Amino acid sequence: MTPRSESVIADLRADAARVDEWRDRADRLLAAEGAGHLVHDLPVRADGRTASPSSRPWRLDPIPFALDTLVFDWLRAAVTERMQAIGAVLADLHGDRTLITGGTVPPEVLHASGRYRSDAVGSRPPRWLTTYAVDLVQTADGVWHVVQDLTDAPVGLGYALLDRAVMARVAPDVMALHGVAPLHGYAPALRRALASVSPVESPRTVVFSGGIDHPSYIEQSYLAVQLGVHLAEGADLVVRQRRLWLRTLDGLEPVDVLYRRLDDAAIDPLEADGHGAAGVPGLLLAVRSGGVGLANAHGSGVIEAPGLRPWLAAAIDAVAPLTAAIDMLPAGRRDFLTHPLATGEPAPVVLRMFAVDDGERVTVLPGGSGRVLAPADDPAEPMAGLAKDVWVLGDRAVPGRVWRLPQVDFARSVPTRVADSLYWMNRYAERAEAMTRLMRTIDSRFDQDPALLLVDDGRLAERAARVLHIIGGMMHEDGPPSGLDAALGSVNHALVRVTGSLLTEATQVRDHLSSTTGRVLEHLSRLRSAFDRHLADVDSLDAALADFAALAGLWNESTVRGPAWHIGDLGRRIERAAVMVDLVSSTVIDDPDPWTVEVALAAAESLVAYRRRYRSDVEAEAAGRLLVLDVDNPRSVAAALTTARAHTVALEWADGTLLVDDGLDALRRPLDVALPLVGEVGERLGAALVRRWFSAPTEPVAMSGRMS
Amino acid sequence: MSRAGGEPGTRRYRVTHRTTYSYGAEMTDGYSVTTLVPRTTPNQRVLSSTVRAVPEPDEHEERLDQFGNPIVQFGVHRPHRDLVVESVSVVELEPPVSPVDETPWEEVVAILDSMVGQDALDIRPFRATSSFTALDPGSGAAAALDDLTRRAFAPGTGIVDGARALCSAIHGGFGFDPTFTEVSTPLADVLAARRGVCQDFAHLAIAALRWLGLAARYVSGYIETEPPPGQPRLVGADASHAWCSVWTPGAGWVDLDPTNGHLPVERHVTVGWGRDYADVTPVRGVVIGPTAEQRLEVAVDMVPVDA
Repeated sequence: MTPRSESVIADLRADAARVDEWRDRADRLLAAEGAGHLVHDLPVRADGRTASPSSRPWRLDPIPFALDTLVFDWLRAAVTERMQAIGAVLADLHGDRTLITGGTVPPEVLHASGRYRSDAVGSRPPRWLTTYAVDLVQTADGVWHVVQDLTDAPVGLGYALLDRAVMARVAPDVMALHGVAPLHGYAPALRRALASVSPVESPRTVVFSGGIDHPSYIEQSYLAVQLGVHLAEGADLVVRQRRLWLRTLDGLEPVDVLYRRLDDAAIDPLEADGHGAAGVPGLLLAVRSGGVGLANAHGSGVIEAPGLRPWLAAAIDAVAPLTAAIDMLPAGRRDFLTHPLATGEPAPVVLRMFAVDDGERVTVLPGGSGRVLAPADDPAEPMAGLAKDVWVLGDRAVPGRVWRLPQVDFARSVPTRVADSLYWMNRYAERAEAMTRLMRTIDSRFDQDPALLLVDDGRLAERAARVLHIIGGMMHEDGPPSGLDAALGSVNHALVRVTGSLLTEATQVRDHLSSTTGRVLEHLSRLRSAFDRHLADVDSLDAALADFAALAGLWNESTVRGPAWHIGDLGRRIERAAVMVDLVSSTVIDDPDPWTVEVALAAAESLVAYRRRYRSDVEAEAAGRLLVLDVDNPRSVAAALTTARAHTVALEWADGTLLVDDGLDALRRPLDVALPLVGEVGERLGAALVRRWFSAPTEPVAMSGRMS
Repeated sequence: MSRAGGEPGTRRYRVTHRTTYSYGAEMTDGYSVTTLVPRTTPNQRVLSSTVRAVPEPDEHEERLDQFGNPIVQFGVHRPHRDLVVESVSVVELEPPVSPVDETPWEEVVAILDSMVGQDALDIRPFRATSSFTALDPGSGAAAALDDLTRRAFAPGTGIVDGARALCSAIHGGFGFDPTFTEVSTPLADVLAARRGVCQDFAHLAIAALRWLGLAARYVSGYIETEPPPGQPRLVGADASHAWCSVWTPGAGWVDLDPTNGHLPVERHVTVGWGRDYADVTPVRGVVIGPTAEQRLEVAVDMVPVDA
């Protein structure tokens, strides 16, 4: 009898048209979900780093990897047992070390591996492995083999959950028909397992991330959202009094459990053989003192050392003999069972399975991540970038068991770094929107009436170029404008740069933004790539304006108010006032020609309001009042300052309120005097805000040393 | 020569080791881990040892590392432009005994291969290559190391004789040159230029001994340097020093100082040992603040004291 898994796959393959359609949808959804977490194609950041190219999204093959219930049950038992046995091996290697004294594992192998952590020897964590993953592959004879164990900070769970989220959107009917086991019980099981690492009643957990430059940043950010906990980087965390703390707007908040997504060697630069200055100085001191629980325990990565591999089976046999053993894949063996792909020849697939241990039971994910092997690939490192969702076939949908944990109130405790990014994200968004709108305004005017280029011997075009330069922030560095086309070109370039900065900041706080925001960012990132290739046209500028409007709307309507929101919105108001000061100064004050003033009104989305109000030709003085002083015009300087003032009051930031009041006072003076004063206040306010709220430390620097 | 000690022939020293970091800006946090407290050995007694830091640390922890070296860890959590770490230790050294063990080195390797029990934990880790002693196996540096090693350890050579020959070969064949290397200079460069400092020569000897399958460890400490005849002893003219030990079945760990060509070592105060420099760096750590610049000054003073 053909196993059900095979007939399910055969049925799917028979319907090629549908599979094609699935693949297209899967591509789109993965781009929206995955890329929403890491907006790729990022520019070089202010600090010179770029997002890692290896974190590019992968593709999902729409034909799943199917497992019959019986096979899965057998694998589950084997994985459970193996995880526990490896935990016992780890406990021995760092505790009694009978494996070494008894001659099972040569100590040279451990010490030469670079992964046997000196500071872990002698430690007794509550549990060595809280999370575990194992790569399995079937040889041509159908026998399952272990390719590798992942014990340090196993990667891939987030991708497996993400792939499933996509497949559940693409093929819900087929999945229901075959009773594919759901995965929704796993995140709660993981949360519970992480909590059990700490003796504290309702422990505060954070995901310890490598930041935007880490190859697995998408997964780290996605897992933080799934777990409902903060994503923290090294600089967000600090050890004091043998405890771990999160730097937040409200000061230091204790952290009880650290779900580390970084390897052993990278978590504490004070460790004897730690690598570089990354990580949290003193973290291992806090761990040793019981000040924070670590999952997985420090040192658990030694199992991944290639040198240990030949000795692992004997080590397991010595401390915890397996009843359902799966043999390790013999080196060099490459005759693998192949699986059909949506396109191309069938190929071998490495199955990564995931498990969590909460101390009472091991939960194995009823699914996993299938990774397609290209012909020359090392099974431990598939390079094809093609994944398969893993279906465990059942008779009916299994209701997920939902574990409930006591809720932890983290409401006010937004990490300082998050507020920092939200602040800059909003400033960049406001500036990028202003540039886009001005380009759109000027472009469309010259498009509709090319004769304008010749008006006044081309002086009109020169004046437009000048305004573009000022709003693009390039007046000083790039010298005087030299023609409209050149000005449009350099503003386009500035727009690409500023939008890139906006996307980078947003990516770093992706776990604090809604999924809809992720999609808008993804779309904006595509537009930005297009602008980078050729000058933006009116239609794509319109599309970008819609994205900016969506971001502003989501920011206002879908973000919980709190200190971080106030700080982020302060960024938007400070930038808006700055933009308006630039715009009005360069038109109404310096060049009060009706044409340029009308451009300013249009670029500030105030032309209609002007016409309704004044029913006259454009006059500089009235336009100035509308753009600067009219509190009812949300685009005006006065409105921006008034809103900024409310934020400083909400933040109980008296120095900020005084500064904004200086700006409001300045508005009582003639415009040509007021505007430079307001510009100056904006700069001082921004600087004061950074000082007051983001005194985040820089990266640690290693102390040098030398003997002769 | 006999400086008065508790026993005839013993020497007593006070060692002051002062490390000063100047950052040129206010740093917000500083964390340091020190291996500065000398440990007791068969011929060394530690009469007193203190380590302190300025500014006064907010956090202070003492523990033993996996090799049994005393570690003192500090955390300073307020603004500081300088950090001073100073250790003061008084130790007493027995006169050195010339070690005797004629076991052929191949036999020592065989003993190590089958070593189990506590010895497997204490001795065998020192056979593994570590970051400071690793060489690319097919490289010219590896060939040079092999040559150096085979000359000292002809087949059947006794373990102590071989170690002594290796020590002389390094002392005679390599020039002491503090300007050539830095902490991170790879061993391959030292082999190519045939120049280096004590730390490089210790790593070189360790790499050679491990090349054969022997167990060798890195020793960090101090050495008393005699002033030139007729000149007064200069305070601060003594330096941190590094040498190594090789394990022998008959005489245990045998110290050798390839920088000075000595076996056994004399007037050497042992602080600690490990697989290489990284395990026993006297002062290391990280500092957090607005600048990556730092100036480091180290002053070591080793003076004989009366009992």
